Amino acid sequence: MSFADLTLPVVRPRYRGAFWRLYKGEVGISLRRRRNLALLAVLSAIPLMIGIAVYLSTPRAGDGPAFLGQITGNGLFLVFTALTVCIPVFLPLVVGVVSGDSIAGEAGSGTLRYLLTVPVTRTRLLVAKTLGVATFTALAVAVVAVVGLVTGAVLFGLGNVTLLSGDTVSLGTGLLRALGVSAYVMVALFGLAAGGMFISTLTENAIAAMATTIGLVMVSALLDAVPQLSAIHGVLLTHNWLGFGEFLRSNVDTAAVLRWSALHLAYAAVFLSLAWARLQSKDVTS
Amino acid sequence: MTTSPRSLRRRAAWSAPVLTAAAIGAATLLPSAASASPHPKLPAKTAAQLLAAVQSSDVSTLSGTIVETARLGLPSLPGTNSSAALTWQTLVSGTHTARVWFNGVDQQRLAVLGQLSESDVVHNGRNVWTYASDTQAVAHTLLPANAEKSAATSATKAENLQKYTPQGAAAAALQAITPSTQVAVDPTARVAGQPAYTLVLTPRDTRSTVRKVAIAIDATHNVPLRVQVFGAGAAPAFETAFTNISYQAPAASVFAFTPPSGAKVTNDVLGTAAQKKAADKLGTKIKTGTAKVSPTVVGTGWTSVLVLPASTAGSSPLSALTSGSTSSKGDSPTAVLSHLTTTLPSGDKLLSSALINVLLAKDGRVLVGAVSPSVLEQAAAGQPG
Repeated sequence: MSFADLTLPVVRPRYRGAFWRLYKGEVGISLRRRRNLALLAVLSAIPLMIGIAVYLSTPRAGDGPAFLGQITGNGLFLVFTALTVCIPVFLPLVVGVVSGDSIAGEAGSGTLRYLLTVPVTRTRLLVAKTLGVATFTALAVAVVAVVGLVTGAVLFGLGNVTLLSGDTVSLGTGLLRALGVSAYVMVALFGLAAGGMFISTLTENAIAAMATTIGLVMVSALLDAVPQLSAIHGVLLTHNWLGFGEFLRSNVDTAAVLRWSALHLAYAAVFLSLAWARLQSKDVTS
Repeated sequence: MTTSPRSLRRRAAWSAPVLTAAAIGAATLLPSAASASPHPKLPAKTAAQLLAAVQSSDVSTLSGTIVETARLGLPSLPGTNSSAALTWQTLVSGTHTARVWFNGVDQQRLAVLGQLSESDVVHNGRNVWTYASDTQAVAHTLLPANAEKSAATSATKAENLQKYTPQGAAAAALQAITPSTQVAVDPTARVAGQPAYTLVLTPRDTRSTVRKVAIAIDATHNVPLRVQVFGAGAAPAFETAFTNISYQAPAASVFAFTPPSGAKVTNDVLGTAAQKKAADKLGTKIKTGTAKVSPTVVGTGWTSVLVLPASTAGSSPLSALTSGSTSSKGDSPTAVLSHLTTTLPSGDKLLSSALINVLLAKDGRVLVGAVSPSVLEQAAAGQPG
């Protein structure tokens, strides 16, 4: 029998509320960090700039990104235009920075080992971190949507919504559909956030983790653009990100939306289980 | 040396992602494998029985999703990939998805889906509406009251689009059945989840570029579910198929179309006195030879060749090629096509694809057919314009 087998089992006392405090701490830190606030400011500037630009010069129908021509008639379309513009680059950038920093940032600055001394297991730490990243991801999407909605309402007013199919629905239904669009984008980006967290467990260099996470998006988008690879397009990370357009058709194909969402969540499950395994087996020295 | 429990635990942790991935893989693959075998064994049927069943099919209500794929060997044309525009460019390259709703002869809706765009054709009684989300343009056609029963035939756009639905494409292909065709039935297909017979048409004439046409027909509802046209390659050069289908009557709201406020609406009324006058005028023009000469068809069956005289071809995008113009911009469809043409010894130009060959004759005529280039050349020589 080796000496290692004689080590006593580690008994961690369980304090009530420790997990909740950990989660609150995660969200609090990410919201106080100046870099993250700057990212949110950039995100909120995008719908604002599009709104002002459209206000100053009315675009013709069919110009620019999708829905741009409809903003002047209904400010709600600024939400959809802003999300369409933000989803390929700006939102993944924000998600990549926050998720890439989540573990590697702590390891790099030498605070991860102190975090592991609080009375929670590594699993719970990962769960708290994941929830923190998910919260920030949702917040980033919400910032784009809410600033878009407010800017659009102030500059152009709100009204009945013309769907992609040409049918018109009431403003209330339109707002519900905008909510569906935002929720879908949040779920889609959560798959990427989980990828960022896994990459973040692999290194102590937060910048490398962030860059790799954003690289993940670029590689996926690149593969998606090669027609010869059409066989694998359906399962690529970024392929269905613009699937939120489904919410703007008269007859929403819920089966398709659920299928795409399941794919995003499957990515999240695989990446998070990888992150968990890596964290369990990792020697935390810093 | 023994392995400590800690390092064992560490290694065991990695089984979690493996199990997660395996569970997801099983969840995606098992339902499709368990639902039914991909190759059902249906009772044998002759081609004649199958065609009769299709003719007598009483299905008048259905809704579903159609995916159309063209692999003609042409590069994807500019600006057509994610667009839902109803143009010829969108249908000759890449994959396109559409949803259809049918409720008898009086109510149909077709929606061509783009990523963040959609084009709709809604036929409801005497009204035919088209809407394109890209331009937000609405076109409204009021059909003549007395022709309500054959209304679908008057709606030109709806009719054009029907050629790309399995029903329309099957009807067109079945018309081509002549003694020139070998017909076989394969009772082992499954399309859109439905067991189906496949009618396989093989041209006997080897000069046709069409190797075979396969039409899958729903075994219980006798509705064509898939049409595949095979050229030289293993994958079909053109394919249109339902990916899911339901035979329940669609909700009435699907066919109720009100143009969005603020959209430009162009109105058209078919069957009015003014239109008849215009048609009569055109008739006299054609008789007196002042109108453009209409295209002619040379040959029969699979080796038919469509000949566009120089004057009508003059307005087509292909005409720029015959004059050898290189001034067009690099990203225009004309410029893309010009890279694909080869000049024949005779001086004519040939545009070759996996299914259709196009001969651009020196004299400005354009010959189109699903035939080998030599047939086109013969047709060009035999019918001087």
